[in-house]
Amino acid sequence: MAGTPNGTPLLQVTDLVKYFPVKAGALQRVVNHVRAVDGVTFTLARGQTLGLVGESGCGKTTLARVILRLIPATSGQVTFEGREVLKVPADVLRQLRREMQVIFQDPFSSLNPRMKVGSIVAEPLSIHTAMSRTERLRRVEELLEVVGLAGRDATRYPHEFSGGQRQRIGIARALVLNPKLIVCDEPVSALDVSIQSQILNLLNRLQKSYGLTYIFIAHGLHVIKHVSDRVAVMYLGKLVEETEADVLFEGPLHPYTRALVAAIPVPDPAARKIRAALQGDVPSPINPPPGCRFHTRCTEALPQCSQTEPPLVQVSAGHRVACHLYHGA
Amino acid sequence: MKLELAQREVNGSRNARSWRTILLGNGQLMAGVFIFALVMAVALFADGLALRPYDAMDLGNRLQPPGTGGPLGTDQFGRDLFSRVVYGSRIALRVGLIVVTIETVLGVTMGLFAGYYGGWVDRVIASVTDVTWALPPIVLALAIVTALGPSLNNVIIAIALVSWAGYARLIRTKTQGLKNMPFVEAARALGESDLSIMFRYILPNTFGLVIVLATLSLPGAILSTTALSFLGLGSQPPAPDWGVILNEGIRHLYDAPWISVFPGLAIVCTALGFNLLGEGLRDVLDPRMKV
Repeated sequence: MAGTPNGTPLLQVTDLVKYFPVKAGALQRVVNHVRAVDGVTFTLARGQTLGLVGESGCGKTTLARVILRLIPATSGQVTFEGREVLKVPADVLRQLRREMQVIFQDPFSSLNPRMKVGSIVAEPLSIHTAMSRTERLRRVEELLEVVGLAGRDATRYPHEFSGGQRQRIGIARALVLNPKLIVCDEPVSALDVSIQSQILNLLNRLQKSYGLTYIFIAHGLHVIKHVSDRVAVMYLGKLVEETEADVLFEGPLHPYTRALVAAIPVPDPAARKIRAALQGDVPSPINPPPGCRFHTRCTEALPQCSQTEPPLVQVSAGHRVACHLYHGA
Repeated sequence: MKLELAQREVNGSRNARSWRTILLGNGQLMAGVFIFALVMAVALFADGLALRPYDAMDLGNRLQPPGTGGPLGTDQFGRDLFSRVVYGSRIALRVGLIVVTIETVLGVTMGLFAGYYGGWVDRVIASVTDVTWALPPIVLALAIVTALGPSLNNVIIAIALVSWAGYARLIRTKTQGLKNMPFVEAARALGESDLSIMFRYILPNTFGLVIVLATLSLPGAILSTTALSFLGLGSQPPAPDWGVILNEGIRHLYDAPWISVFPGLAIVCTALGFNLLGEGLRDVLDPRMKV
């Protein structure tokens, strides 16, 4: 599992758990928990992209926020270059913030409407560096050009830009401190399809020129396909399959992954593919089904699926699946 | 290349022109600016405008109607009412601005902390604001002034102390909404400190609300202080406070109504002017209106 080309992995997530308490009654007692992230383990090598995919509400965004320590974890470990992200004191965390950045889903609400673009992009520099105003401005203009905007756009307000342009501003802000890891939280799902590919190409280009590592979150595999080296499929707070992107698209193992792969649109009107469409809704993460969490919607469920939970085990080199169909017996 | 230059020119001139169009095209704002400028000018140049000192009595010319005894007539001591109302604008503006400044700073800070931190900070601040809110403001102000002794400064303190709660509540609610916005989360992901997030990210996004609140409460502050002066707790008699003049006019409401009418009109005009100004400013200051 740890066999990565560049030695130690950049990011290691171990048994990460995040429960949100559900309070009720006059005394606001905790009556239950939303199991948003329930024991997630993976490693991410330098310069790679991990695509994280799953339906809405499966905990992808929560996972990202816990990894970045924007919200506290319930338990588990996140190790970034040997440092415990979830335990380090405030000053080390500040240092870590330089190296881990995030691009948000909604380009309309993720930029402060009261700040000019130049200030938005320069903000990380004023927090973390001792650069002078002119140095910051030069760096901002340089970055705006890198992401495909014009240097003079620095003096304009976010509302003067389109969605795709705003997302470019968000990317420039994430990039300005030369981070090592960027968490892209559904960066294209709020954009038009024609703009999506532009942004994806930009992200790919930036990864090559700056040696970035991405965690790329999306709710559909067709976006993931363009950017990922490895793909992790998440269902109700748990990883159900994780492997190389090529392997996943060629031969998905978990029934859930197979349904997702089958749902990728085929650009050929003649290809009448029989789709293994998913039936039903995602069960509530407050009381997830016992056993395998997917068994309520699985077409191939075995008797033991509703009783024992399948662990995420390696079935071949670098390919992990949590499904009874592939567990020896 | 040529096209790009032309485009830039269009953008540049549009920005300059749109600013002027927005400012001049906003009738409310222009009316508010006009009244505000008028009141400010009267207050600033009171010494030049006034015909006589505000406390110069002329017992031979008591209760003269407007026209014969000066532009606005005279009061029961023969003092020139025009001069008194003109000087009164100084008191009203000073008191109003001081009260609004104190309650804005106090209320906005409390609201920001309560809304941003939540938890026990929120519970403490919320219960203080609720208690303040639950008591009738004038009664509470009366109690404070009675405890401190009647004077204009004590009235300012009292009015500010009873009226900040409204700001705190609204800013708290607004902050609770804003602190979950992705751009605030982005700021935290960048390592921005709590104070910086509160005052540089959240506060500027509440300016529209603060400006409206401030202009809406400025006439309120002037009204409350004049009310307390009217009751004899604020400015003391020879002072040309509009509330004091109103009070003095009460006894002559039938034979010399102008004594009460003109300070009353002054209060109404000032209040209206600040309301129009605030509403206009809110529209203009929202950057989204600029397109």
